[in-house]
Amino acid sequence: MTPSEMTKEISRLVEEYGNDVLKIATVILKSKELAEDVYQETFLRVVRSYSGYRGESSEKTWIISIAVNLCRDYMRSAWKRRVVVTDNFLTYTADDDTEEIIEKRSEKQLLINAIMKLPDKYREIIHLFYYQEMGVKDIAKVLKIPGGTVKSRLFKARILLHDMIGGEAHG
Amino acid sequence: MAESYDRNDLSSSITDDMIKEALKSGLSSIKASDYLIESTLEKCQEEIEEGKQKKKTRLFMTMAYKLGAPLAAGALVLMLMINGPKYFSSKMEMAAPKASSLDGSVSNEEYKMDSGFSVSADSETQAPDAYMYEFTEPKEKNDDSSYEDSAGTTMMRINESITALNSSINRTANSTEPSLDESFKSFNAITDLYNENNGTKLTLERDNVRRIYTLLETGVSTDTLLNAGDYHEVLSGDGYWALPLENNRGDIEVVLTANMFDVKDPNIPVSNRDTIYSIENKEFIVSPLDNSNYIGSELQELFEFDSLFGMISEMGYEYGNDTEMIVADINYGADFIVLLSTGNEKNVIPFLTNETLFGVENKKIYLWSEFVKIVSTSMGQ
Repeated sequence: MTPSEMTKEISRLVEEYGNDVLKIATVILKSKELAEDVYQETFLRVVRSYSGYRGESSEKTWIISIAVNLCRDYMRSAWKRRVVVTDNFLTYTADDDTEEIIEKRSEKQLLINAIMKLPDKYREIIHLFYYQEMGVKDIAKVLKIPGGTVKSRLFKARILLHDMIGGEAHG
Repeated sequence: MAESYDRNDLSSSITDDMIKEALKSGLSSIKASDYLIESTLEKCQEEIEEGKQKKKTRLFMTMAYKLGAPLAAGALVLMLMINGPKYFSSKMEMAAPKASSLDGSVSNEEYKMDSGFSVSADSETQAPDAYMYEFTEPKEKNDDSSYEDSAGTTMMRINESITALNSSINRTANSTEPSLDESFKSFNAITDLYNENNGTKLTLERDNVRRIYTLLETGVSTDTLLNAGDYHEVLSGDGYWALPLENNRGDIEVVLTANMFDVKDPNIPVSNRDTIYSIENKEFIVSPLDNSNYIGSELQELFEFDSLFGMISEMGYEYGNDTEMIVADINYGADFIVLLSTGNEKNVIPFLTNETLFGVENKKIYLWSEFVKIVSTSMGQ
């Protein structure tokens, strides 16, 4: 592939999967700045490893996989531990909403807050399954865990969500 | 109005669609800015250009290697033909002193065991009446392959070959051990004390606590293994609790083993690796597993009941009403096996930190007889 073809290809991948990468990184790292770093680094790694991509998994699985690995590196790094993370980046616009819309929004807000409070391993799996709509096999590839573990973590994540929301009501 | 929202109703009715919707709404505002896209593409462009340059350099280097090696070899042969005998004699003389100086420079790094004994004060964060006697751990180890037991005997934990299967020496009888429900409060207090002592914020999940079964106290030799009708004959009836402590990512960072013991019993073995925790008039011997990091990253299913259950189902194993599942320590807390029994069928799933030592594959289901055959062959080598 010539450099100009490669540039075009990378532009396509950035356009197609860029937001997915930014979203998964934000969900895992809970930090806009770190997520943007991961976004850039992900596509640099895509450039470096493009020739090695054999299409065994879909482009999306391959790229998300790189992003998740980078997030894990960030989580492990000492620098990350000094960064104050926030989960207040999920905001909603409130204009002239009806009572019903406000209630629906509170539902979603409560649920998204609970998702963001899940331990990382459950949060990332909930995002990949429900938001990225990836199948168990693809998630297993991305997270490098057996399919059974994906299923059980999903199951456990749902239980935790129920408990957290029920717990908040009682607390 | 939003405040009057009934959360109990929501907790009982969270559907997949609601989770999807919540994520869609919550993440809808997260989009890469034009600046981020542009700067990323610029960096990628630079990377592509650099890659092109490197490719050219690589091509030159490949040519150099291809042509350079025969040319250099030819030159060397020519030089040897001219200077042959003279060259070899001077080379040997030069080599001898170098070898002896190398031997002399090897330093003998000694590793000092500090067996200081201290008691930490209670703190407000601790469980009531919880404190800890601490055997100070050595800062660094220069040999991971051995440790001292209470009698000062050096025991091999991670060997290059193995002659018998052994479990950790810290153990109590399974029959008299209080249930997990009874002990869990104490395990939480142990977790708090561990965190306080190590400056960590690890957590313990009740579902992940495991009772690990131990093998016969005398160890299991090849003969014992081969002659055992099934795995029950190599188990001792004792065991210990394994407490996998997770970080905020949910990853296992350390696995502690815990055993309640009678402090007045002089025969209870306590090693330099153990810490004694006193919680509400009960004493526990607590030690971290050496391979906690590896276990946490590669063998985590061992301590996640749902994952283990799912993994075994995926292998095609059919559970029955009488299915028994036991986790056993087969190499001083470094290697484990999951033992399964349904009806007359006995199976084993290895969870080893060193697969080559036993000749079996991790997370693969074996018939007990098949496992015994392979492992006893490996033990004989």
